[in-house]
Amino acid sequence: MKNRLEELRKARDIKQEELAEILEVSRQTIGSLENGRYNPSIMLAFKISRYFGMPIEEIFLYEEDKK
Amino acid sequence: MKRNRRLGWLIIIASFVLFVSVSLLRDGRYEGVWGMIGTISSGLLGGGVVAGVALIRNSRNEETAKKASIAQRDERNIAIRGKAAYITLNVQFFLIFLYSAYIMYILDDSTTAFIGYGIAAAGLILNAVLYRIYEKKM
Repeated sequence: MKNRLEELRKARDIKQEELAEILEVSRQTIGSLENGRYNPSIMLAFKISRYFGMPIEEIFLYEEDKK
Repeated sequence: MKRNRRLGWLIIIASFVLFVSVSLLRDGRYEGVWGMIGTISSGLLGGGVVAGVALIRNSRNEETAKKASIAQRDERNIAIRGKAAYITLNVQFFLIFLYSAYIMYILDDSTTAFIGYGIAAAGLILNAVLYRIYEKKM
């Protein structure tokens, strides 16, 4: 699943550490989310969407598995 | 903060008390079941000291404590720990069964071998019980 986390974070001019503190997760989790290596839980996805004031589907872009 | 420091010291003292008690109860017996109990108590002493020192150290610095608390609750860390624990558990079971079989057939020590099988069985039962509990909760 792709996401726009890095783009949105940079638009707000905040560091990964700061976003991690706001969302109460580790900095590594933010890094993994931005790289698309880790998909967040629905709770974290809602926290992120609330923080950026955008719907989840505008931040996380769902793609069907290509087989 | 103070609670964590107290808990840290409590864990360290309890680990030492357990180790010393087991050492006294062993009374110079280093083989068979007593040898195994001694090894387990040494392991618990090491683990207890490490956990206790970590708690005491984290309680001294608020920033470190906060970071440690976030790292503990972080959902990615929890997922990583879960995956690692699942693989470790399966490998451990395999090794315990293999080791017990080796002891039973090669060394012809069925008592010690059955202790190994018993530990593995207890682990499997605990795993099944926890699965049922979480199945109902989730």
